[in-house]
Amino acid sequence: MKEADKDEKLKRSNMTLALLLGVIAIAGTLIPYFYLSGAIAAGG
Amino acid sequence: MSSAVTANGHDEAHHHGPPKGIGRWLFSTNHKDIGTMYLFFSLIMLLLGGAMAMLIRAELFMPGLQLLEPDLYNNLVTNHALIMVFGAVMPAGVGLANWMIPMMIGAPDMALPRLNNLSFWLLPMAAIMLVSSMIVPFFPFGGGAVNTGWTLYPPLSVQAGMGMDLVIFTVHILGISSILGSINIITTIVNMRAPDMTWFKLPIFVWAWLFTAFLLILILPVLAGGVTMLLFDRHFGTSFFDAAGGGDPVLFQHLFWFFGHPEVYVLLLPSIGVLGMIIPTFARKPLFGYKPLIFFMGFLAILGMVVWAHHQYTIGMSLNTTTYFMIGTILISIPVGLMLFNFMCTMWRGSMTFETPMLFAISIILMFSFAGVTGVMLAVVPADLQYHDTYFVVAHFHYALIPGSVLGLFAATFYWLPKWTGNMYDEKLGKIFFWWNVISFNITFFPQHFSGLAGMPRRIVDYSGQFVEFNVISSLGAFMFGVSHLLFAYIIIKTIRGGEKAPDKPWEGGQIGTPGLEWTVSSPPPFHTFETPPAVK
Repeated sequence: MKEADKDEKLKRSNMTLALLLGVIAIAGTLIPYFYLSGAIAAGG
Repeated sequence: MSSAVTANGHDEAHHHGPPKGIGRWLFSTNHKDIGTMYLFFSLIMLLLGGAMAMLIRAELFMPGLQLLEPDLYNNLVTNHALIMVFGAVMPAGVGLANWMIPMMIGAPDMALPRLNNLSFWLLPMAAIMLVSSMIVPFFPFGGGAVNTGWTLYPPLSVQAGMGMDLVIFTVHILGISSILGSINIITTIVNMRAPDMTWFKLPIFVWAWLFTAFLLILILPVLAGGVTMLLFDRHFGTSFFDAAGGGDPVLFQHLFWFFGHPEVYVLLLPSIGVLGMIIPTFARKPLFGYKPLIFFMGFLAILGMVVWAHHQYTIGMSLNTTTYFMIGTILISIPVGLMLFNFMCTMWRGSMTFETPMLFAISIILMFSFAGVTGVMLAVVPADLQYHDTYFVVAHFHYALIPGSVLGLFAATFYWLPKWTGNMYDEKLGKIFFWWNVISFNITFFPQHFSGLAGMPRRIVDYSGQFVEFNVISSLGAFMFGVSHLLFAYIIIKTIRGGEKAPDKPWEGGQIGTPGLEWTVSSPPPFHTFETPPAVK
């Protein structure tokens, strides 16, 4: 593989992993709301 | 990576060293420069948070109101904690990660250099907002002070003035900064390792940061969600935490401590990683139990995420729930104890020398073990019902966090300062700083165990006359402890400005204990390192 192709592949891989971790973090902000709905379902 | 650097327009700097002027720092995408900025920011915050602690201890020197109004006192307690946790210790850890991880794994830089710049520059903005939260109550529009402590519990936090909004936004911004930093660190470790740098060749500091970064990504969003709900309760008529509207203030406690307890390990793990580098170097032996230590750190990170409610035994949970949290908490002592045994076994029959980083490392093992003992005491429910909200807790967590993280950061600074600056620090001054710092730390916090056991409540501006002796000793120790950090700053500045030239491998034992890639580059390292991947043995 050419050096430029290798770099491009690495950049894409970095971006993909970073986006995946970002999605996990954003999903984490929803945990309090799930927790709340669980608490409400359990009768407050 | 190299094409990304070229595409950034950094081609010129790439070959001619760092850019000139303030632009070097404002627009930096270089991991070493950004690491340096993190470390300096952290030092400034340490001194600011420390000055607040001095005011707190000056007020508590004698019973009665001496210097501070109660609201301002409570505001100082809140800001001291937030500044120390979010402004001093966390950025220092990220600073070390920025400086060392790319050099340790043979990467030319962090995986996402521009994101790295953003992560750092969010911090000063957040710090300005945090300090503003203390100032606004002095203005007519500011409302009441932020008098909740760092836990920000409602209903007090719902009733506080405008400063609380600033604190909430500060937490958001700091959270974003840390999450972006963590994403960058994980991506760097996973994708940017030199070709032969396999997982089990990674230095223990890199492993420690990998666990820390995952913890941060999992816990910080929950805090962000919790404080956003708090913001809605304050301004948009919701009742998430208001019992009168069908909500529950205890819900916030769960959300806060779901973040707050693992946060302790976020502060602790990078320093454990530092000990894993320093002790083998100065014991002149490879680290004892490298793979088990990685397992213990992972176990600690997982266990640390499921024991949060031991901070809330007094809220009236069911017996089963309380028992679960008690047993889980006590279990934590197993991986922590085993880590400390790893370090002691590394020292066993080693050819030890006692330079400043090693002195700090040994003191950490001793004093952090002490925090472990009081931690197990606090984990036991019936005992905790007595200790809860007393100075015993204050003493416990300062023994956990100062030796467990701050002293680890000092040890790391002395250990890597020759590499960063190209100059050896003044060993005599380093040792004076060590003894001054550690002795005064113990004078400050050891008596607080006794005042706490005698029943002195925490977060209180005035106290009963029966506690006066312990508080006088504690305050005198605190003033000594606070001033010692000026010597630390002086040693750093002196080392940056000059001194005996540091060789590329400044520590003799490093070649036996931790012979990593970071020692193969010059001291100080060139602006760009490892443009071609290094060979890894």
